[in-house]
Amino acid sequence: MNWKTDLKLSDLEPSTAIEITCKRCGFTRYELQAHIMDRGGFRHAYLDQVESALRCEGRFCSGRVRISLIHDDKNEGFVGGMA
Amino acid sequence: MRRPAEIERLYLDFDGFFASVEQQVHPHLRGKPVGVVPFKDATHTCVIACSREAKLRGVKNVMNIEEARELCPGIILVPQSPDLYRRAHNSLLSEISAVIPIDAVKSIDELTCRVSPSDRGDPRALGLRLKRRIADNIGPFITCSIGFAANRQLAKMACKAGKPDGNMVWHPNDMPGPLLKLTLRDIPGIGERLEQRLARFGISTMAALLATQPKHMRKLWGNVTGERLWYALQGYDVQTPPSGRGMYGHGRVLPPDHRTLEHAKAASRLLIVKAARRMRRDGWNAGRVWLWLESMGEGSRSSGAWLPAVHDDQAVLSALENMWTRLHKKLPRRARILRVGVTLLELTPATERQLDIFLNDDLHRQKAEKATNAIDALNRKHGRTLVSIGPWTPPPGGYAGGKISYTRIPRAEDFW
Repeated sequence: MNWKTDLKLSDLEPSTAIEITCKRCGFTRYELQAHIMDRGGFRHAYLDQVESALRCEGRFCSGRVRISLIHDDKNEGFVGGMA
Repeated sequence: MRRPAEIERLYLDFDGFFASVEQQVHPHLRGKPVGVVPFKDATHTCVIACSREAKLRGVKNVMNIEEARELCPGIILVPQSPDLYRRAHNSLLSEISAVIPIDAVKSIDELTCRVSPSDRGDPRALGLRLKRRIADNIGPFITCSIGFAANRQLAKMACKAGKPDGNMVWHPNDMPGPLLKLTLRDIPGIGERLEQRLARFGISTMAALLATQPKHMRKLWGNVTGERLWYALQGYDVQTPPSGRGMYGHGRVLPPDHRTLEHAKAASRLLIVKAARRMRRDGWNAGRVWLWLESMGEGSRSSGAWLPAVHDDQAVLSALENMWTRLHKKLPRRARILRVGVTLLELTPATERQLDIFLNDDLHRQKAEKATNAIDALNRKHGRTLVSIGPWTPPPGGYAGGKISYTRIPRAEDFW
């Protein structure tokens, strides 16, 4: 059991950026949760099911992909060395 | 100001992150002293991160390679893989956020969370849950230290005190006991110079620092950080407000056979385009650009130029061209450039462009922005830099513009 089997696509914010990387050719693209939801069929899907359903969009590839979430909206620097 | 009576914050720091990710991915490195270096066959630079096994033999992060080899002759040096660390970071954070919401990501290997009321009674169990989840789903060779306390600063210090693989709880009822065992240098934010300054005022122990008045701390620090630190050490719920974005920039040390002016210029073009891409992605315009060069034997040179609040490649590249023309006049023809850097400053939101009354460039700017957006869309579609304005010659070593820093975890597209 991992985060992909724990979380549904609908659990994520519509503005969440999802990184989709091809396991075969390495082509990487980014899609927002809202865009993937709009495709239909993913309303109740867990992220591992979304990952299995998505395919690489690189030319002539259509390989299986790996998805990951981008967390850079939570980045916060140290100010004066304080956490 | 509120002084929590319970554990409210968690701070998590991965142990020797880069090296442990390498050990997780490459089984032949497990259990061996590993040092991560900036590039393959590096000899005159430093170890950017090292494994626990290397640390036990006296090697430290940011130690000269020669010194590391003297202390630990068997150390295995591996070139850094920023994309691997970035992917590991994303996976680890996804696993952690399935257990507890992440409050802030402080760096590629540090984060902090608010502890929910249901976990406050037994924070160690939460820590063990997180560790088990990481071991089961990512791998047992990436370990982390976790600290729990009333506020972020104390949680970070507890985390550091428990390293490696710690699960340290500093309950407010036990304070300041654990703090008194530490030195001033164990406080994040106190370095050598500040320690010397405090010593001049008779503060050389933690007890003496805790006995100081908050306004005195503010005076000693010369800013509000001193006072904030005092309250944080006393267990108050205080933290620094997030700092705003001030600049976008990239720097690069050039390899020995790429230190001519032509190579430095090509590298600066690539770096400024990458910085401008990131700036556009985040929705900013730049009002100033800066170019700096560190040359061998000539010291450092820099040049700046004002920009009419822009984010398109054409504008930043023409400003760069002008700065190079100026620097060419100052530098000897055979100058050897060791390091090149570019910075985009004076940021303003891209949606609020203030037009210059002396510069009627709006129509031209809109055209240039359209062209830049089309280039970005093409590159994004193909997952690499397929189109660029002018030549695109990445310097050897890869990862130009993809450096990992405290406030920046690069995206895959930053490596294109």
